[in-house]
Amino acid sequence: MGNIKMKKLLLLPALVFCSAISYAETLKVRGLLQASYAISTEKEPSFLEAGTHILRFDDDHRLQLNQAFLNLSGDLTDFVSWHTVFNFTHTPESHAGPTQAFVKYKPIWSSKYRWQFRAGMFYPEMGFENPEMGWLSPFTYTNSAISSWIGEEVRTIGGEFKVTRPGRFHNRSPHTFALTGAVYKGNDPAGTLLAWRGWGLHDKQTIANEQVFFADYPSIGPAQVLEPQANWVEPYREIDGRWGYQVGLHWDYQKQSRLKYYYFNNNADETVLARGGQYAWHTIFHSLAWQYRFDKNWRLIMQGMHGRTAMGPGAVLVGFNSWYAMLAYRNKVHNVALRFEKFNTIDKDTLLPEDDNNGHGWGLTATYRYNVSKSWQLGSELVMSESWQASRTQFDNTPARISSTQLTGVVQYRF
Amino acid sequence: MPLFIRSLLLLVLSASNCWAANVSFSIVDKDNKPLADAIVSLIPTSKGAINMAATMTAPSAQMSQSEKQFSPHIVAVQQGQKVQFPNEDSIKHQVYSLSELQQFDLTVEAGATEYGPEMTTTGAINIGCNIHDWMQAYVYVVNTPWFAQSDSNGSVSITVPDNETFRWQLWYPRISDSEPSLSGEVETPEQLIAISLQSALLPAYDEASDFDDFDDY
Repeated sequence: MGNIKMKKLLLLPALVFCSAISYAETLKVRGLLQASYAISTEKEPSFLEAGTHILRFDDDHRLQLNQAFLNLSGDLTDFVSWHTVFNFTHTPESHAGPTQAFVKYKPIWSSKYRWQFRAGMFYPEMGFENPEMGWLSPFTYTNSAISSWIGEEVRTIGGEFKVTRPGRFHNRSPHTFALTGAVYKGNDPAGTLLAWRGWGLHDKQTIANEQVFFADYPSIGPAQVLEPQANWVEPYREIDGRWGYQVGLHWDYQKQSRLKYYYFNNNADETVLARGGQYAWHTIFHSLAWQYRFDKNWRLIMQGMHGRTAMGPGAVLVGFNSWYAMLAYRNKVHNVALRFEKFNTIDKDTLLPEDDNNGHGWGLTATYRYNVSKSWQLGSELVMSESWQASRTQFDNTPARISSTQLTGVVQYRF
Repeated sequence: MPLFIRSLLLLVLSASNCWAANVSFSIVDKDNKPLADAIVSLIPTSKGAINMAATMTAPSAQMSQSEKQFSPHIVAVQQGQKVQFPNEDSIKHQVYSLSELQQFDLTVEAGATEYGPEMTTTGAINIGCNIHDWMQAYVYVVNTPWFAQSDSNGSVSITVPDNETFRWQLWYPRISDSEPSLSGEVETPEQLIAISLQSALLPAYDEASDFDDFDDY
């Protein structure tokens, strides 16, 4: 009897070991580190350092950590998988946490349609610029103004469905369609950055519970009507308790031409102010994105966004729009991308003339990335931009127009 | 019949032996380009060939998953046989069929091999990977031991019993339903059948040729 017990005891560690191995097989660990040295002509500090400059780097010329994240994923069952991305940043302050954490359910239900469900925190699939691990762009280092804003203020924290009608299963049609929709909480302050800072051009994604700073504009300062508004935003705060929603339509033609349309409405109650100076901003926008692949190497990516955001009872109403066009070439070793974009914010409220949210600008980005090996990549990027933002003139000695040139050398390691 | 085919036939006939004959096909599309990977099967219609077919089993087929693609992306298998799905990638695949003809679902771990079910019906079965939606393939099930796939020159050669009759059948996923030249009768000894498709091939969008790293986004 004792012998059997002994055997059982000996078996126990073996069982634990075996289950640890089978667990390890379902856990996939990947990650990426990206550092850069940037030379910029711009003396005005970046918005990340409480300035009004819209790019990530200014003329403080030092080695910076652009990206640092771990991508952990695994399977719960054959049809359910989990996905997380944990980012670390030291800009503007050290902060670590998830940028994505969701469960994906992909059942095999129908021979004619494909279903997919996601729940948790994830990006809506609005554009074609960020298909890489960790929502990075494989094309440029600096995101377009549209993707920069999605990365900082738009994240789905809720549930999403997607149903795809593959043409192949419908009389071999070359057209594949998908319909997707999501409901979410959070995202109430989305729009804050566009109202004051305006559109930005950078690669920073807001981590859960992170505060994104912008300049302490006098119009939100002491003794002003907008004094309750802080000079930072927690983009994923839930403020009014209401659900937001988005719907999307995808149309693929032979994988050559892919079109995506999204309607976003965070359904926020713009009259609600939360602790810490965070208003609910009622933000609505349309996004249309198109990718055309000329061949295996060359592609054209375009996206346009048009919307508006409102805060306070009639206090701030800002229209916003932007578009970009990017031509990209990729082979196994060389990656070249050239992107041009324009962006606008339009002040539409009449209540507070001293709080002028008008702004406009353009950006031209040229990037070359060289794959040294599967893990290492070297690259360089030139960003030329001009932005005119009325709110800058609230500060003495800051002109409304900033024209800057930023040249970056980047080294990246992934595993 | 063109003179060169007639003379070729005579040449082939004179070289044949008494129990086996080669039936050869040369397949071109509407633009006169050789059609590769097409499946030709010879279904016996005479008694001797039917009896012989009943005693024969063709080898099973294999469709591997390599670099997130099925390879080859078309295989033929005899009814009653299984298809082997080896995973040569370092990631998991989930091979499935929701085809009305036959349904199955296999989780194939990295480096592992799984067998599909015994194929009970005949016809084309769409194969996909539930994890990588762009992975698409076909298993074509035939009810004869005599079948083969065309090479890059569009050529197929099948060895069958002599002095028998067969119905030949051509299948390829991109052939339009309205194509008239998809089957015919053939009587051994040796034959060379030239097939020229009359309708244009359907688009190649879901074949393995044009895969983008970012298709699943």
